[in-house]
Amino acid sequence: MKRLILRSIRFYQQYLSFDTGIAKFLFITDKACRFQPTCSEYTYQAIEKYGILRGGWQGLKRIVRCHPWSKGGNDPVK
Amino acid sequence: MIQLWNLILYQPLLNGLILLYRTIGNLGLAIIVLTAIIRIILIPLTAPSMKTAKKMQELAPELEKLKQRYKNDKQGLAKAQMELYRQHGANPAAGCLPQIIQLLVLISLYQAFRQVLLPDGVEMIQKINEVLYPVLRLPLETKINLQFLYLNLAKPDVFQLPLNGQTIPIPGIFLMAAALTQFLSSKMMSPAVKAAEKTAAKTEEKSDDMATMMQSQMLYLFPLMTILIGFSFPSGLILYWFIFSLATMLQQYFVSGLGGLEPWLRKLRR
Repeated sequence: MKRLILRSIRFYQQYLSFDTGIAKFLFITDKACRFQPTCSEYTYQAIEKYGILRGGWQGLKRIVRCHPWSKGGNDPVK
Repeated sequence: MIQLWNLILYQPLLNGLILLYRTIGNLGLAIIVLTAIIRIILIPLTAPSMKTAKKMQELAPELEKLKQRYKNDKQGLAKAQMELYRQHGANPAAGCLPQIIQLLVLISLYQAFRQVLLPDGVEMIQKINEVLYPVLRLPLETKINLQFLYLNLAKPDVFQLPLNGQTIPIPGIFLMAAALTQFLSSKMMSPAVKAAEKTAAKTEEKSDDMATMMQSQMLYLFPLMTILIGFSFPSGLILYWFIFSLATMLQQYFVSGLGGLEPWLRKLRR
């Protein structure tokens, strides 16, 4: 299950995401995420480290944090 | 979750569409106006990332240098990259949340249009009425006027070209226009793609390579897909798609100019 989710995050990053995938061409964005690592990469690492529930929750919180009024910047998984 | 979606997105949009339809009296125009309004509301969410796109184009040469310097140090590169953007104030990427909200709005808009673009019938009016606010409810015998210019908005925008006793379907004006705007606006973005291509050639990272390859293919693939899908989609949705891409293109133009289209235009002028 965990591997499946991690796989699908990788799939999203390559083919769907706003930075490199299909969504980039629908919305003509060049860079979506204000953080480093990106939200999807952050979630990937968090799930790898803490499991689906806790890691997933952390990823969700990160996405909510990622809006135009946040500072952005370097924010690795703790 | 689905109820929340309905309440804050789908329902207001469908109501807005019917309100516009009733005031303008033309469904095609109502679709155009509603799409335009939504795009205008979304500008604060889309503008920052487009601005970044321009900054990134300007910073591309410096980024190139960084990539050379941190060839084998991905973490270091990411940090140096962030620092570079911070110095030039290029971070205003809108963030992931606005992108997701934008996506949800556009899907709801699509759903609202699709709901109305069905062949007429009492059942369909009943279904719409379930979602409409009481003031806007339609009488059951309402027939929605699906005519817009030469289009029947519920049918695909396809011409049947007779040839040797057979008919060949060719994409209609709006379908072509939708594909063309889509192509042009991604072309406008393409200097960034070219820069990335160069970098990808130098880095050994395979995924990097894949991504850029996909990007240059998509430039042609997406408009083609639009045409293919358009053969079976109600033309009202194609109209929506056209206005949507047109808005993207205009916004793109005002933020960062012609971009990758410039060399083409120069050739044309000669």
